[in-house]
Amino acid sequence: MKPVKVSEPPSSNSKVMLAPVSGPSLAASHEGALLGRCVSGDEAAWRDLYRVYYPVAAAFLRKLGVRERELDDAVQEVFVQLFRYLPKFRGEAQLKTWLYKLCATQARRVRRWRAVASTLDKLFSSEEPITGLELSEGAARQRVATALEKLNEGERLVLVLYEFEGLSGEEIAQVASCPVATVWRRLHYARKRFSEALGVGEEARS
Amino acid sequence: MNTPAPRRLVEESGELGELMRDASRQYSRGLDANRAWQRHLARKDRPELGRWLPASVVFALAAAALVVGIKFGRSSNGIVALPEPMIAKQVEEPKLEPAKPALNVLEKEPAPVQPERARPAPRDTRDSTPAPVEPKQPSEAAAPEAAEPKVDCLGFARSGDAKRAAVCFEGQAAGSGLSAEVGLYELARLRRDALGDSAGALVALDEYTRRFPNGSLTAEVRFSRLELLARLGRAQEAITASDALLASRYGSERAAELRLLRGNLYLRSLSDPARAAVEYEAASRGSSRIADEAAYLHALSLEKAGNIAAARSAYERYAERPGARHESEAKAKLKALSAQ
Repeated sequence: MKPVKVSEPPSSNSKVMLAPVSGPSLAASHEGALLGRCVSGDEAAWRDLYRVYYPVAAAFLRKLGVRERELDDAVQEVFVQLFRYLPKFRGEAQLKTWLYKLCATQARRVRRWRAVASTLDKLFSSEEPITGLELSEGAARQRVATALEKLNEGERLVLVLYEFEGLSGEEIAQVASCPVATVWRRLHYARKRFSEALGVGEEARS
Repeated sequence: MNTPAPRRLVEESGELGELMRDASRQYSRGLDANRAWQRHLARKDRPELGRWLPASVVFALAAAALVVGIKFGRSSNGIVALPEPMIAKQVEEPKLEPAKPALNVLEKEPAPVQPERARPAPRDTRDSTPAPVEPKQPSEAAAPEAAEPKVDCLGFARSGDAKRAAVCFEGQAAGSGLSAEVGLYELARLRRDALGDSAGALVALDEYTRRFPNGSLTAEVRFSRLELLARLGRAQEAITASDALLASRYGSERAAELRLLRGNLYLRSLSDPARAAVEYEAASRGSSRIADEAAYLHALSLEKAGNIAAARSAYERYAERPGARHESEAKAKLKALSAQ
């Protein structure tokens, strides 16, 4: 199946072909109806969809290393994209998988922007850019976040999607745009580095 | 044999499992969808200028920095020094690199002496992507077990101790599950890239195929094996292997690459330009770099097969392709063919 071509201008008779979607709290049939209402421009439906998927997107962005002060903008940008291209969504992938993909792209943008901002800070200000994690974060989250930072982008994405989000190898391959074999290879190395960074050995896992 | 999906860390009972569950809960704390929706509405109503202003400022700053850089980068005679790729190259003859097959799956992976983190990001995930695209369907469904090794074999390879890394990967390969699969695959790459032992690499890949006929890395192993056969000069075997691969689901996804490799094998190793032309033509559809290369080689193989009229027509079509990489060579060929 080919992915939807979102670069084409939306047409009034765009069909939304919906596959069963396993949303966080919506039954597939309800979600199908909800998406249909969203496409027809029903703002109440947009709000409902937003409320369902906001926690998923925000928590996922946090796991990918988006900081609290960057989170709001990042989530909003993801949903702006989601709503903009929703009329072209044909259900060839699950909506949740597509949302994860949008989030992964946005997290990458945030990191790049952070690098630019850090350079600008150094150029125009004597203040050191703020680094590290928020004080409000829990201890477990801090430990995990620090370990996740040790992974490269591809490994981090695969590990978070598999270990936290519970996606299958095939779904992760869709989000990461790579073969399933690559997913397992990345997971293998990511787990190893992640465990090392946490200081938790194999023996502690049984 | 298909290996089961590895058990998720959050499902484990030890310290790590506990930590993952705690972290997962903490990641979801303090998220207020209703307030976020209000912010979303406010953002949606914000004028476009406001949305794009920060990016525009950064762009302007970057442009200014570039101008300043060029100004101060001028050489003493006032001529801006151009980077190497911008200097026009004159190419007399089209270059055919005899030893390098079109398909080079192993080289897409990090060399054993370099960690995977050095690999460039996939093309479709860059910021320049104009619009989000629904994810594609993946190619494989196998879900193996991941038993992680305690010894860092890659670490040995990275530190330049290839022999020790090979022994380490051999030990890893003697195990089971995903760890053994990765061990065999990495052993093959190590033998090929660091130890210069293509035949040994092929042995490792063959062992993989025997032990894990439906393993998680089957696709990569089959492509790697094909490339090694071509490298070892076993062209006919490579053609036969590529037939099977083309007929499989793995091959259909990378048909253009496979066709280009087959064209190269027919043209260079089997001296059969007519069959090479057929393969190149099949690979030349589309606008990818592979298609561009194949389109030029299609014309070249027609010429080598003695079909001058068809070759001239193919060169003409190639020269009209937008962004043709061998445009100047094609035009030179056309000129030479017209003079005949």
